[in-house]
Amino acid sequence: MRFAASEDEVMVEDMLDRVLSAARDSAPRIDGQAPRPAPEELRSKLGDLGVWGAWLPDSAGGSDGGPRLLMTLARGLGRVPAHHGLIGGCVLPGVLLARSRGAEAAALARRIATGAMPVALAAMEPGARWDMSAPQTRAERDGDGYRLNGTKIHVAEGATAETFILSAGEGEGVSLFLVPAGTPGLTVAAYPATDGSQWASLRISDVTLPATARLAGPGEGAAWLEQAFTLAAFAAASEILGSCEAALRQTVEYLGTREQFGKALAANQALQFRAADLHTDIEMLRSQVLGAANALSQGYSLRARSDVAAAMAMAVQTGDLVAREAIHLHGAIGMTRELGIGYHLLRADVLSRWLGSAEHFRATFLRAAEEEEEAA
Amino acid sequence: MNMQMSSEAAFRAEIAEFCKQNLDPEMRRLSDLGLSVGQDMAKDWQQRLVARGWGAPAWDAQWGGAGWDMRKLFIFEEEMAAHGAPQVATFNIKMIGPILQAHGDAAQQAHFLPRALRMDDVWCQGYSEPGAGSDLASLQTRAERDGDDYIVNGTKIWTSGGHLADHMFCLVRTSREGRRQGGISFLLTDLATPGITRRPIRHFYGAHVFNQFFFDNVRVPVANRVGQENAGWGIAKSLLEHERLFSARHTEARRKLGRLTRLSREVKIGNRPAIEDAQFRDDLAKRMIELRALENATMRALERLVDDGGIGPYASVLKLRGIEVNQRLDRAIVQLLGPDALPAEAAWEGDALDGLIPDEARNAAESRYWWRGPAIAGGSQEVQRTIITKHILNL
Repeated sequence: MRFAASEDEVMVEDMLDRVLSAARDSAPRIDGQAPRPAPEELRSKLGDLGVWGAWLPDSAGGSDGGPRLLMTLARGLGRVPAHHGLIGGCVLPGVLLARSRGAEAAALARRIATGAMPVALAAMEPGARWDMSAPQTRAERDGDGYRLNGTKIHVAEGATAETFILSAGEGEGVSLFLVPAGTPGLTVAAYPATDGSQWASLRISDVTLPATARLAGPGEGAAWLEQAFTLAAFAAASEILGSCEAALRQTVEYLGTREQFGKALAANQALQFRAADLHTDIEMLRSQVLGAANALSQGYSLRARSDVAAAMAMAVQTGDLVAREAIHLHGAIGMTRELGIGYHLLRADVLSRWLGSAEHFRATFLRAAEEEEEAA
Repeated sequence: MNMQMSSEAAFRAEIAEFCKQNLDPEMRRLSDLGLSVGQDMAKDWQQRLVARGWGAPAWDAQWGGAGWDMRKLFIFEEEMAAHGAPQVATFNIKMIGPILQAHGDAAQQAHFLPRALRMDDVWCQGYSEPGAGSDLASLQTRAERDGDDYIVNGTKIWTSGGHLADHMFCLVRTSREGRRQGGISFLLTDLATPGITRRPIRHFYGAHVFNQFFFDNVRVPVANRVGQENAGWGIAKSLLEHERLFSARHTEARRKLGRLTRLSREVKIGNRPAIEDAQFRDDLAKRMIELRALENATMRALERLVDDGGIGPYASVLKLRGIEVNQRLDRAIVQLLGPDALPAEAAWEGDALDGLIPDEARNAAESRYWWRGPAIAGGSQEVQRTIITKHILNL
């Protein structure tokens, strides 16, 4: 596999650049924020262009673009602050729906590919951190169907979803269910995260579902979730890469123009070296994200899993460092919402709180690498 | 693509087989520990490589090169390192050989290249001076014409392996006009020439690594000048582009990681193998992840080299990070060993430690000390940062 961008990827990158800068330039300044594209318009535009769901398989409304196109999309989105919803509204539900053979799932996946966000995944639970293998939410047989009880938290895009994919313990395994938002017994409560995006908690009290609502049985659910969150981590690492690239570019421009003590900030070697170190960190992150994309493109293997975990472990650290340095090197103006450089820190933080810390991904990496070595 | 992959696998297998047949276990053990294999073993290994046609694969075919493309050269280096082959005669094979092929005259090539290939001559590099380190162009050792000779006066320092060498290629000042870089010439010197004296410089951990050479009215034939007078700077800089891929020194880091993981199953922390300790596992994962990223970065550089013919300032990114990765691996090994990193390498000469501590503790601390050097040599880390600032970030 090659590292350099293919013609398709270059085309998608150009398209993204055009759409994102047009959306940003026409966006109003709301509530003192740096101008930001309106998410719905952005998604539907990218959906119309066939970019939003291009990574999905043909059968799920995509164009079999695979991980390389997902990387290109997420990285491009990372360069422009926006609550785009790619990971929560497209990647997580998209992976699960694409694995399902049901007609309803296929119809939902095709809607997702157009830029709509009908589905959110509710898999995290209070106090469980990033372990989704043993949910307290339970599914019991009830006549021909199921009865569900439990609680879910940190549901991305959950405030606006029409349908949830809920994980629940069934027997010894984990099953996945499609649950419409209006189902009696399901209470959805929205809350904002620190980056301003909307999240939701779910209280599930005697929710009854028909047998057809089960998307994955207890023998499958855990593996499906692992794959979905692996791809989510990959998209997040790609997004953070884009965020780092944009933050450093903006910072380097600022160093070249801002004058203090009668000379450009860029004339100070201490600041030059900080920028050079950030560039080096970003080059390493870029190399690993590309490596993960290539491994994933060859199939969902142990190598792909360890490569993704490595990429996200690096992304969490590099994203945090680059964002903090970008704020600092801007000086006081870096502290303002109006400039918006701080959004990179807000976003990198939310992605890491949601999907896993650097330590979490290092542990995931090492386990996968060890399994791979044992298998060899 | 599949055909390409299968021929690559066949090539890797060919190298593995060669190492199995020819690599002495003791030689492998020493080079895995980062120790020199000594001149006799080095010459023996080089003879075997030459016999196989692999003595200097990057050289022109007429001088013994293998005629491989850059990808194949890269795989060769990687695979040799992976099997524990020592790096021998690097100044012969990677420096003076390519320089003579590109810039030497017919007589120089015919005389020196076969001798360098067989290690009949052993070369060292005379670039740095007491007043010219990172700022190499300020070098002062002067060569003045006297008939068919130059008379050389001055001093060269930090000469790695100078005590094992019999020849030195050096940069000397032949003019003080114009740009400093423009007054430098490239000379080949026989170290047995009268007027040359050598002083050993001990590394801070005790080993004899460096040397200082003094030139006192040393006569070097003008015939030993490579290229035109005052053209030496460009010649010295013309390192083979594919060698720049190894700026990251990722093959050495990979060997260190092997040592760290082997030790992690042997060394115990709180009655359990270190590999089961949560804190150690997190540290190990950090080292593995940064090396994997570095290897991907190197593969990207190889792809760029094949596409564009060069990697430009990207080599500085590789060097900057690659040396850090190597240094952190050395540190991790020493930390894992704990008290067992206390004995000096010389302790293995006796039997005081037999069966008491892991054999891979040998030279662990010294390797860490030695690896402070590459961050200073060949353009210090700060020089690399300056290159990144100026030529990549355009600041």
